[in-house]
Amino acid sequence: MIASMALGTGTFGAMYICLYIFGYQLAGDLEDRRYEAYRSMPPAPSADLSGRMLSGVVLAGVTFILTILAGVYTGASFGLRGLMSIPIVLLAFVVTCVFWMIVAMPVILYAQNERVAEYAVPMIAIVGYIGTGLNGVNTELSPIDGEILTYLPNALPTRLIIYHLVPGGDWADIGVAPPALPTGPEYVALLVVYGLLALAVGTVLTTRVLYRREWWP
Amino acid sequence: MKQPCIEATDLEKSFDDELVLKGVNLSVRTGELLAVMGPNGVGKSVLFSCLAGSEIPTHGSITVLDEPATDRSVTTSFLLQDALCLERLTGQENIRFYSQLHPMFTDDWQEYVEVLGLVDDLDKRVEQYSGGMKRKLELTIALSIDVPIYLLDEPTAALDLTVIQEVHRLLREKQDEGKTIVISSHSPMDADIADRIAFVADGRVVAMGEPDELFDAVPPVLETTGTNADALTGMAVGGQLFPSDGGVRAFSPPDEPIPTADMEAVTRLDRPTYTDLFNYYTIDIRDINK
Repeated sequence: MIASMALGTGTFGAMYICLYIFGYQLAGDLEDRRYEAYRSMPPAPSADLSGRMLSGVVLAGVTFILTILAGVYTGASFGLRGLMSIPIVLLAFVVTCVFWMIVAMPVILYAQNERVAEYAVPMIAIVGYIGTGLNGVNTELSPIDGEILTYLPNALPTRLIIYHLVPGGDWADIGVAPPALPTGPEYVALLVVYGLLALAVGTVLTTRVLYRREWWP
Repeated sequence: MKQPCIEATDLEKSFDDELVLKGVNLSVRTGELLAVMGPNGVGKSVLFSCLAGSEIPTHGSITVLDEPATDRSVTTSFLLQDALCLERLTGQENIRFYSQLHPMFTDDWQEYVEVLGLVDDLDKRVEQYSGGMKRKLELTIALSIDVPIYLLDEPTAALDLTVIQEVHRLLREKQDEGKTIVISSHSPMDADIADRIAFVADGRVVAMGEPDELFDAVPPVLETTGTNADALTGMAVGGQLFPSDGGVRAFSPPDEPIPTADMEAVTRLDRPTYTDLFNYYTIDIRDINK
Protein backbone atom coordinates (compact mmCIF):
# COMPACT_ATOMS: atom_id res chain seq x y z
CA MET A 1 0.00 0.00 0.00
CA ILE A 2 2.83 2.39 0.88
CA ALA A 3 4.44 1.67 -2.48
CA SER A 4 1.31 2.48 -4.49
CA MET A 5 0.66 5.56 -2.37
CA ALA A 6 4.24 6.72 -2.93
CA LEU A 7 3.86 6.28 -6.68
CA GLY A 8 0.52 8.13 -6.66
CA THR A 9 2.03 10.97 -4.64
CA GLY A 10 5.16 10.98 -6.80
CA THR A 11 3.06 11.31 -9.94
CA PHE A 12 1.05 14.08 -8.28
CA GLY A 13 4.30 15.85 -7.40
CA ALA A 14 5.44 15.58 -11.00
CA MET A 15 2.13 17.00 -12.23
CA TYR A 16 2.33 19.85 -9.73
CA ILE A 17 5.93 20.72 -10.62
CA CYS A 18 5.19 20.60 -14.34
CA LEU A 19 2.17 22.87 -14.05
CA TYR A 20 4.00 25.24 -11.71
CA ILE A 21 7.43 25.45 -13.36
CA PHE A 22 6.19 25.49 -16.92
CA GLY A 23 3.35 27.90 -16.17
CA TYR A 24 5.35 30.27 -13.99
CA GLN A 25 8.27 30.60 -16.39
CA LEU A 26 6.00 31.04 -19.38
CA ALA A 27 3.83 33.61 -17.59
CA GLY A 28 6.95 35.56 -16.57
CA ASP A 29 8.19 35.69 -20.15
CA LEU A 30 4.79 36.81 -21.41
CA GLU A 31 4.26 39.38 -18.68
CA ASP A 32 7.69 40.90 -19.29
CA ARG A 33 7.02 41.00 -23.07
CA ARG A 34 10.05 38.78 -23.61
CA TYR A 35 8.36 36.96 -26.48
CA GLU A 36 8.49 40.18 -28.48
CA ALA A 37 12.26 39.79 -28.35
CA TYR A 38 12.25 36.00 -28.84
CA ARG A 39 10.09 36.36 -31.95
CA SER A 40 12.82 38.45 -33.56
CA MET A 41 15.46 35.80 -32.88
CA PRO A 42 16.45 32.64 -34.74
CA PRO A 43 15.51 29.78 -32.39
CA ALA A 44 12.61 27.67 -33.68
CA PRO A 45 9.42 27.56 -31.62
CA SER A 46 9.90 23.80 -31.31
CA ALA A 47 13.29 24.40 -29.65
CA ASP A 48 11.67 26.75 -27.15
CA LEU A 49 8.94 24.22 -26.33
CA SER A 50 11.42 21.33 -26.12
CA GLY A 51 13.69 23.27 -23.76
CA ARG A 52 10.86 24.22 -21.45
CA MET A 53 9.58 20.64 -21.44
CA LEU A 54 13.00 19.13 -20.84
CA SER A 55 13.57 21.33 -17.80
CA GLY A 56 10.09 20.46 -16.53
CA VAL A 57 10.69 16.71 -16.97
CA VAL A 58 14.07 16.90 -15.21
CA LEU A 59 12.69 18.77 -12.20
CA ALA A 60 9.62 16.57 -12.07
CA GLY A 61 11.93 13.53 -12.25
CA VAL A 62 13.86 14.76 -9.22
CA THR A 63 10.59 15.26 -7.33
CA PHE A 64 9.36 11.79 -8.30
CA ILE A 65 12.59 10.09 -7.25
CA LEU A 66 12.66 11.93 -3.92
CA THR A 67 9.09 10.78 -3.24
CA ILE A 68 9.99 7.18 -4.09
CA LEU A 69 13.02 7.38 -1.79
CA ALA A 70 10.74 8.69 0.97
CA GLY A 71 8.46 5.73 0.27
CA VAL A 72 11.39 3.28 0.56
CA TYR A 73 12.45 4.97 3.79
CA THR A 74 8.98 4.44 5.26
CA GLY A 75 8.81 0.79 4.29
CA ALA A 76 7.67 0.61 0.66
CA SER A 77 9.21 -2.00 -1.60
CA PHE A 78 9.39 -1.73 -5.36
CA GLY A 79 10.41 -4.06 -8.15
CA LEU A 80 10.22 -4.47 -11.89
CA ARG A 81 7.57 -6.68 -13.44
CA GLY A 82 9.88 -7.30 -16.40
CA LEU A 83 12.36 -5.65 -18.72
CA MET A 84 9.56 -3.99 -20.67
CA SER A 85 8.53 -2.29 -17.46
CA ILE A 86 11.45 0.14 -17.78
CA PRO A 87 10.41 1.81 -21.06
CA ILE A 88 6.74 1.71 -20.07
CA VAL A 89 7.39 3.42 -16.73
CA LEU A 90 9.61 6.01 -18.41
CA LEU A 91 7.00 6.60 -21.09
CA ALA A 92 4.22 6.93 -18.53
CA PHE A 93 6.25 9.41 -16.53
CA VAL A 94 7.28 11.56 -19.52
CA VAL A 95 3.73 11.58 -20.93
CA THR A 96 2.43 12.68 -17.52
CA CYS A 97 4.89 15.57 -17.48
CA VAL A 98 4.29 16.61 -21.09
CA PHE A 99 0.52 16.39 -20.79
CA TRP A 100 0.28 18.53 -17.67
CA MET A 101 2.72 21.12 -18.95
CA ILE A 102 0.54 21.55 -22.00
CA VAL A 103 -2.55 21.81 -19.78
CA ALA A 104 -0.93 24.89 -18.22
CA MET A 105 -0.39 26.56 -21.58
CA PRO A 106 -3.88 27.77 -22.58
CA VAL A 107 -4.51 29.06 -19.04
CA ILE A 108 -1.26 31.02 -19.06
CA LEU A 109 -1.74 32.28 -22.60
CA TYR A 110 -5.14 33.58 -21.62
CA ALA A 111 -4.19 35.08 -18.25
CA GLN A 112 -0.58 36.17 -19.02
CA ASN A 113 -0.10 36.69 -15.30
CA GLU A 114 2.57 35.30 -12.96
CA ARG A 115 0.21 35.23 -9.97
CA VAL A 116 -2.27 33.06 -11.87
CA ALA A 117 0.60 30.76 -12.79
CA GLU A 118 1.85 30.63 -9.23
CA TYR A 119 -1.44 29.97 -7.44
CA ALA A 120 -4.23 28.98 -9.82
CA VAL A 121 -2.50 26.67 -12.30
CA PRO A 122 -1.06 24.22 -9.72
CA MET A 123 -4.59 23.91 -8.33
CA ILE A 124 -5.38 21.93 -11.48
CA ALA A 125 -3.01 19.22 -10.20
CA ILE A 126 -4.57 19.23 -6.74
CA VAL A 127 -8.13 19.01 -8.08
CA GLY A 128 -7.06 16.29 -10.52
CA TYR A 129 -5.29 14.33 -7.80
CA ILE A 130 -8.13 14.43 -5.31
CA GLY A 131 -10.93 14.14 -7.87
CA THR A 132 -9.47 10.96 -9.34
CA GLY A 133 -8.92 9.15 -6.04
CA LEU A 134 -5.29 10.16 -5.56
CA ASN A 135 -4.48 9.67 -9.26
CA GLY A 136 -6.35 6.36 -9.37
CA VAL A 137 -4.46 4.87 -6.44
CA ASN A 138 -7.59 4.63 -4.33
CA THR A 139 -10.52 4.47 -6.70
CA GLU A 140 -13.09 4.41 -3.92
CA LEU A 141 -12.20 8.00 -3.01
CA SER A 142 -13.16 9.26 -6.45
CA PRO A 143 -16.69 10.22 -7.50
CA ILE A 144 -15.76 9.09 -11.01
CA ASP A 145 -16.63 5.57 -12.08
CA GLY A 146 -13.59 3.30 -11.84
CA GLU A 147 -13.78 2.14 -15.46
CA ILE A 148 -13.64 5.71 -16.68
CA LEU A 149 -10.98 6.60 -14.13
CA THR A 150 -8.54 4.15 -15.67
CA TYR A 151 -8.54 6.07 -18.93
CA LEU A 152 -7.97 9.55 -17.48
CA PRO A 153 -4.62 11.16 -18.31
CA ASN A 154 -3.43 11.35 -14.71
CA ALA A 155 -4.82 8.06 -13.42
CA LEU A 156 -3.78 5.98 -16.44
CA PRO A 157 -0.01 6.59 -16.20
CA THR A 158 -0.07 6.34 -12.41
CA ARG A 159 -1.85 2.99 -12.51
CA LEU A 160 0.49 1.78 -15.27
CA ILE A 161 3.50 2.77 -13.18
CA ILE A 162 2.04 0.99 -10.13
CA TYR A 163 1.41 -2.16 -12.17
CA HIS A 164 4.99 -2.21 -13.39
CA LEU A 165 6.80 -1.12 -10.20
CA VAL A 166 4.75 -2.95 -7.54
CA PRO A 167 4.71 -6.46 -9.01
CA GLY A 168 3.51 -8.35 -5.97
CA GLY A 169 0.67 -6.04 -5.01
CA ASP A 170 -2.67 -7.30 -3.85
CA TRP A 171 -4.58 -4.67 -5.79
CA ALA A 172 -8.02 -5.10 -4.29
CA ASP A 173 -6.57 -5.05 -0.80
CA ILE A 174 -4.80 -1.77 -1.28
CA GLY A 175 -7.68 -0.05 -3.08
CA VAL A 176 -6.09 0.24 -6.52
CA ALA A 177 -8.61 -2.22 -7.94
CA PRO A 178 -11.31 -2.66 -9.06
CA PRO A 179 -11.24 -1.84 -11.88
CA ALA A 180 -8.46 -4.05 -13.12
CA LEU A 181 -5.08 -2.41 -13.57
CA PRO A 182 -4.19 -1.36 -17.13
CA THR A 183 -2.02 -4.24 -18.23
CA GLY A 184 -2.62 -4.56 -21.96
CA PRO A 185 -0.81 -2.82 -24.83
CA GLU A 186 -3.94 -0.83 -25.64
CA TYR A 187 -3.34 1.24 -22.49
CA VAL A 188 0.20 2.01 -23.56
CA ALA A 189 -1.15 2.99 -26.96
CA LEU A 190 -3.66 5.32 -25.30
CA LEU A 191 -0.81 6.82 -23.31
CA VAL A 192 1.10 7.47 -26.53
CA VAL A 193 -2.03 9.12 -27.98
CA TYR A 194 -2.24 11.41 -24.95
CA GLY A 195 1.42 12.30 -25.36
CA LEU A 196 1.13 12.98 -29.09
CA LEU A 197 -2.05 14.98 -28.59
CA ALA A 198 -0.35 17.12 -25.95
CA LEU A 199 2.70 17.64 -28.16
CA ALA A 200 0.51 18.63 -31.10
CA VAL A 201 -1.45 21.14 -29.02
CA GLY A 202 1.76 22.49 -27.48
CA THR A 203 3.44 22.84 -30.88
CA VAL A 204 0.45 24.66 -32.37
CA LEU A 205 0.12 27.03 -29.41
CA THR A 206 3.83 27.78 -29.33
CA THR A 207 4.12 28.27 -33.07
CA ARG A 208 0.90 30.16 -33.73
CA VAL A 209 0.24 32.04 -30.50
CA LEU A 210 3.65 32.62 -28.93
CA TYR A 211 5.70 32.98 -32.13
CA ARG A 212 2.86 34.03 -34.46
CA ARG A 213 4.25 31.93 -37.27
CA GLU A 214 2.72 29.54 -39.79
CA TRP A 215 1.39 26.16 -38.77
CA TRP A 216 4.65 24.25 -38.98
CA PRO A 217 7.62 25.02 -36.70
CA MET B 1 22.34 56.68 -52.95
CA LYS B 2 22.69 53.50 -50.95
CA GLN B 3 20.18 50.70 -51.38
CA PRO B 4 17.43 50.42 -48.78
CA CYS B 5 17.80 47.46 -46.44
CA ILE B 6 14.41 47.93 -44.78
CA GLU B 7 11.27 48.98 -46.65
CA ALA B 8 7.97 49.47 -44.86
CA THR B 9 5.03 50.27 -47.11
CA ASP B 10 1.54 51.40 -46.04
CA LEU B 11 2.16 49.78 -42.69
CA GLU B 12 -0.84 49.54 -40.39
CA LYS B 13 -1.00 47.83 -37.03
CA SER B 14 -3.96 47.65 -34.73
CA PHE B 15 -4.46 46.08 -31.31
CA ASP B 16 -8.06 45.09 -30.65
CA ASP B 17 -9.87 47.96 -32.36
CA GLU B 18 -7.20 50.61 -31.82
CA LEU B 19 -5.18 51.55 -34.88
CA VAL B 20 -1.66 52.37 -33.68
CA LEU B 21 0.21 52.58 -36.97
CA LYS B 22 -1.82 54.32 -39.68
CA GLY B 23 0.01 53.84 -42.94
CA VAL B 24 3.70 54.13 -42.18
CA ASN B 25 6.07 54.38 -45.12
CA LEU B 26 9.71 54.07 -44.15
CA SER B 27 12.85 53.30 -46.08
CA VAL B 28 16.10 52.60 -44.23
CA ARG B 29 19.30 52.86 -46.26
CA THR B 30 22.09 50.33 -45.85
CA GLY B 31 24.80 51.59 -43.53
CA GLU B 32 22.97 54.64 -42.23
CA LEU B 33 22.06 55.63 -38.70
CA LEU B 34 18.39 56.57 -38.72
CA ALA B 35 16.81 58.19 -35.68
CA VAL B 36 13.06 57.68 -35.34
CA MET B 37 11.71 60.47 -33.16
CA GLY B 38 8.29 61.28 -31.82
CA PRO B 39 6.31 61.89 -28.65
CA ASN B 40 5.34 59.07 -26.29
CA GLY B 41 2.55 56.81 -27.45
CA VAL B 42 2.71 57.54 -31.18
CA GLY B 43 3.66 53.96 -32.05
CA LYS B 44 7.46 54.02 -32.27
CA SER B 45 7.90 50.82 -30.26
CA VAL B 46 5.18 49.07 -32.25
CA LEU B 47 6.89 50.19 -35.45
CA PHE B 48 10.19 48.74 -34.21
CA SER B 49 8.49 45.47 -33.26
CA CYS B 50 7.06 45.24 -36.77
CA LEU B 51 10.44 45.99 -38.36
CA ALA B 52 12.03 43.30 -36.17
CA GLY B 53 9.45 40.74 -37.28
CA SER B 54 8.10 40.49 -33.79
CA GLU B 55 4.66 41.89 -34.62
CA ILE B 56 2.79 41.03 -37.79
CA PRO B 57 1.34 44.14 -39.49
CA THR B 58 -2.42 44.34 -39.84
CA HIS B 59 -1.92 45.79 -43.31
CA GLY B 60 1.00 46.70 -45.55
CA SER B 61 4.37 45.07 -46.01
CA ILE B 62 7.88 45.14 -44.57
CA THR B 63 10.93 43.74 -46.27
CA VAL B 64 14.26 43.39 -44.51
CA LEU B 65 17.13 42.69 -46.90
CA ASP B 66 14.55 41.76 -49.54
CA GLU B 67 12.82 39.19 -47.31
CA PRO B 68 9.54 39.63 -45.44
CA ALA B 69 10.35 40.89 -41.92
CA THR B 70 8.77 37.87 -40.26
CA ASP B 71 10.74 35.39 -42.41
CA ARG B 72 14.28 36.17 -41.44
CA SER B 73 15.88 35.83 -38.09
CA VAL B 74 19.64 36.41 -38.27
CA THR B 75 19.66 39.82 -39.93
CA THR B 76 18.54 42.04 -37.06
CA SER B 77 19.29 42.56 -33.41
CA PHE B 78 16.33 44.07 -31.60
CA LEU B 79 16.68 46.05 -28.37
CA LEU B 80 13.24 46.23 -26.84
CA GLN B 81 12.69 48.47 -23.82
CA ASP B 82 12.74 46.54 -20.52
CA ALA B 83 11.96 43.22 -22.16
CA LEU B 84 15.26 41.44 -22.75
CA CYS B 85 16.60 40.74 -19.28
CA LEU B 86 15.45 37.93 -17.04
CA GLU B 87 15.10 39.54 -13.63
CA ARG B 88 15.89 36.46 -11.54
CA LEU B 89 19.19 35.85 -13.30
CA THR B 90 22.39 37.80 -12.77
CA GLY B 91 23.75 40.06 -15.48
CA GLN B 92 26.36 37.42 -16.34
CA GLU B 93 23.71 34.69 -16.55
CA ASN B 94 21.59 36.86 -18.82
CA ILE B 95 24.55 37.32 -21.16
CA ARG B 96 25.21 33.57 -21.14
CA PHE B 97 21.52 32.88 -21.83
CA TYR B 98 21.46 35.08 -24.92
CA SER B 99 24.88 33.85 -26.06
CA GLN B 100 23.39 30.35 -26.18
CA LEU B 101 20.11 31.55 -27.69
CA HIS B 102 21.48 33.54 -30.62
CA PRO B 103 24.02 31.92 -32.98
CA MET B 104 25.46 35.32 -33.97
CA PHE B 105 26.29 36.31 -30.39
CA THR B 106 29.95 37.34 -30.06
CA ASP B 107 32.48 37.88 -27.28
CA ASP B 108 32.20 41.65 -27.84
CA TRP B 109 30.06 41.78 -24.68
CA GLN B 110 33.31 41.83 -22.68
CA GLU B 111 34.26 45.16 -24.26
CA TYR B 112 30.75 46.59 -23.89
CA VAL B 113 30.38 45.81 -20.17
CA GLU B 114 33.74 47.48 -19.65
CA VAL B 115 32.85 50.58 -21.66
CA LEU B 116 29.39 50.90 -20.13
CA GLY B 117 30.70 50.41 -16.59
CA LEU B 118 28.80 47.22 -15.83
CA VAL B 119 31.67 44.88 -14.94
CA ASP B 120 31.26 45.14 -11.17
CA ASP B 121 27.53 44.47 -11.33
CA LEU B 122 27.51 41.37 -13.50
CA ASP B 123 27.20 39.02 -10.52
CA LYS B 124 24.16 40.82 -9.14
CA ARG B 125 20.64 39.71 -9.98
CA VAL B 126 19.00 41.97 -12.54
CA GLU B 127 16.08 42.57 -10.17
CA GLN B 128 18.57 44.61 -8.11
CA TYR B 129 19.57 46.74 -11.11
CA SER B 130 18.48 50.34 -11.63
CA GLY B 131 16.76 51.32 -14.87
CA GLY B 132 20.05 52.58 -16.29
CA MET B 133 21.91 49.37 -15.41
CA LYS B 134 19.21 47.29 -17.08
CA ARG B 135 19.51 49.44 -20.18
CA LYS B 136 23.29 48.96 -20.20
CA LEU B 137 22.87 45.18 -19.97
CA GLU B 138 20.24 45.19 -22.73
CA LEU B 139 22.54 47.28 -24.90
CA THR B 140 25.42 44.91 -24.20
CA ILE B 141 23.29 41.95 -25.29
CA ALA B 142 21.84 43.66 -28.38
CA LEU B 143 25.16 45.04 -29.62
CA SER B 144 27.01 41.76 -29.01
CA ILE B 145 24.91 40.08 -31.71
CA ASP B 146 26.77 40.38 -35.00
CA VAL B 147 24.09 41.16 -37.59
CA PRO B 148 23.77 43.70 -40.42
CA ILE B 149 20.90 45.67 -38.83
CA TYR B 150 20.39 46.95 -35.28
CA LEU B 151 16.93 48.07 -34.20
CA LEU B 152 17.36 49.85 -30.89
CA ASP B 153 14.25 51.15 -29.16
CA GLU B 154 15.33 54.07 -26.95
CA PRO B 155 18.88 52.82 -26.36
CA THR B 156 19.91 55.86 -24.32
CA ALA B 157 16.83 56.18 -22.11
CA ALA B 158 17.74 56.32 -18.40
CA LEU B 159 21.47 56.66 -19.13
CA ASP B 160 23.63 59.49 -17.85
CA LEU B 161 25.33 61.88 -20.26
CA THR B 162 28.77 60.26 -20.09
CA VAL B 163 27.35 56.83 -20.85
CA ILE B 164 25.24 58.27 -23.68
CA GLN B 165 28.43 59.53 -25.29
CA GLU B 166 29.98 56.07 -24.95
CA VAL B 167 26.87 54.52 -26.51
CA HIS B 168 27.12 56.98 -29.39
CA ARG B 169 30.76 56.00 -29.87
CA LEU B 170 29.80 52.32 -29.96
CA LEU B 171 27.04 53.02 -32.49
CA ARG B 172 29.47 54.94 -34.69
CA GLU B 173 31.89 52.01 -34.48
CA LYS B 174 29.13 49.69 -35.61
CA GLN B 175 28.32 52.04 -38.44
CA ASP B 176 31.97 52.14 -39.49
CA GLU B 177 31.79 48.35 -39.75
CA GLY B 178 29.00 48.80 -42.31
CA LYS B 179 26.10 48.05 -39.98
CA THR B 180 22.74 49.77 -40.32
CA ILE B 181 21.36 51.26 -37.13
CA VAL B 182 17.83 52.42 -36.44
CA ILE B 183 17.20 54.01 -33.05
CA SER B 184 14.14 55.56 -31.51
CA SER B 185 14.60 58.48 -29.17
CA HIS B 186 13.26 61.68 -27.67
CA SER B 187 16.72 63.06 -27.07
CA PRO B 188 18.34 65.81 -29.18
CA MET B 189 21.68 64.17 -28.34
CA ASP B 190 20.64 61.07 -30.25
CA ALA B 191 19.38 63.15 -33.17
CA ASP B 192 22.83 64.70 -33.35
CA ILE B 193 24.50 61.45 -34.42
CA ALA B 194 21.84 60.50 -36.97
CA ASP B 195 22.43 60.56 -40.71
CA ARG B 196 18.69 60.96 -41.18
CA ILE B 197 15.76 61.56 -38.88
CA ALA B 198 12.21 60.25 -39.25
CA PHE B 199 9.54 61.99 -37.20
CA VAL B 200 6.56 59.90 -36.15
CA ALA B 201 3.29 61.47 -35.08
CA ASP B 202 -0.19 60.04 -34.83
CA GLY B 203 0.90 56.64 -36.15
CA ARG B 204 2.56 57.98 -39.30
CA VAL B 205 6.00 59.09 -40.46
CA VAL B 206 5.27 62.80 -40.93
CA ALA B 207 8.74 63.92 -42.02
CA MET B 208 11.98 62.23 -42.93
CA GLY B 209 15.31 63.45 -44.18
CA GLU B 210 18.81 64.56 -43.36
CA PRO B 211 18.99 66.95 -40.39
CA ASP B 212 20.00 69.94 -42.56
CA GLU B 213 17.04 69.42 -44.92
CA LEU B 214 14.68 69.15 -42.00
CA PHE B 215 16.12 72.25 -40.33
CA ASP B 216 15.85 74.22 -43.56
CA ALA B 217 12.14 73.53 -43.74
CA VAL B 218 11.46 74.84 -40.24
CA PRO B 219 10.06 78.40 -40.19
CA PRO B 220 11.88 81.08 -38.21
CA VAL B 221 11.71 80.57 -34.46
CA LEU B 222 10.64 83.35 -32.12
CA GLU B 223 11.30 83.45 -28.41
CA THR B 224 10.09 85.58 -25.56
CA THR B 225 9.68 85.50 -21.80
CA GLY B 226 6.79 83.70 -20.17
CA THR B 227 5.20 86.98 -19.11
CA ASN B 228 5.16 88.17 -22.72
CA ALA B 229 3.60 84.99 -24.08
CA ASP B 230 0.40 86.72 -25.16
CA ALA B 231 2.30 88.96 -27.56
CA LEU B 232 3.88 85.91 -29.17
CA THR B 233 0.61 84.02 -29.52
CA GLY B 234 -0.72 86.52 -32.02
CA MET B 235 2.17 86.12 -34.40
CA ALA B 236 2.83 82.38 -33.92
CA VAL B 237 1.98 79.87 -36.60
CA GLY B 238 -1.29 78.25 -35.54
CA GLY B 239 -1.16 80.31 -32.34
CA GLN B 240 0.91 77.47 -30.93
CA LEU B 241 3.53 78.21 -28.25
CA PHE B 242 6.13 75.81 -26.88
CA PRO B 243 7.82 76.06 -23.50
CA SER B 244 11.56 76.67 -23.55
CA ASP B 245 14.16 77.38 -20.88
CA GLY B 246 12.70 80.33 -18.97
CA GLY B 247 10.31 81.38 -21.72
CA VAL B 248 8.19 80.36 -24.63
CA ARG B 249 8.87 79.81 -28.31
CA ALA B 250 6.80 79.77 -31.46
CA PHE B 251 7.22 79.43 -35.20
CA SER B 252 6.86 82.55 -37.27
CA PRO B 253 5.07 82.55 -40.64
CA PRO B 254 8.05 82.43 -43.01
CA ASP B 255 6.83 85.03 -45.49
CA GLU B 256 5.15 87.46 -43.16
CA PRO B 257 7.15 90.32 -41.61
CA ILE B 258 6.59 90.77 -37.91
CA PRO B 259 5.36 94.19 -36.81
CA THR B 260 8.22 96.16 -35.28
CA ALA B 261 6.20 96.97 -32.19
CA ASP B 262 5.63 93.33 -31.51
CA MET B 263 9.29 92.55 -32.01
CA GLU B 264 10.45 94.59 -29.02
CA ALA B 265 10.13 91.80 -26.52
CA VAL B 266 10.54 88.99 -29.01
CA THR B 267 13.81 87.51 -30.20
CA ARG B 268 14.10 85.98 -33.62
CA LEU B 269 16.53 83.06 -33.47
CA ASP B 270 19.06 82.36 -36.21
CA ARG B 271 18.83 78.60 -36.04
CA PRO B 272 16.20 76.33 -34.54
CA THR B 273 17.29 73.67 -32.07
CA TYR B 274 16.53 69.95 -32.24
CA THR B 275 13.74 70.60 -29.77
CA ASP B 276 12.23 73.13 -32.20
CA LEU B 277 12.61 70.57 -34.95
CA PHE B 278 10.87 67.96 -32.78
CA ASN B 279 8.01 70.34 -31.97
CA TYR B 280 7.59 71.49 -35.55
CA TYR B 281 7.33 68.03 -37.03
CA THR B 282 5.45 66.18 -34.31
CA ILE B 283 2.91 68.57 -32.80
CA ASP B 284 -0.08 69.41 -34.96
CA ILE B 285 2.12 69.85 -37.97
CA ARG B 286 -0.75 70.04 -40.41
CA ASP B 287 -2.35 72.87 -38.47
CA ILE B 288 0.94 74.73 -38.15
CA ASN B 289 1.59 74.53 -41.85
CA LYS B 290 -1.78 76.02 -42.76
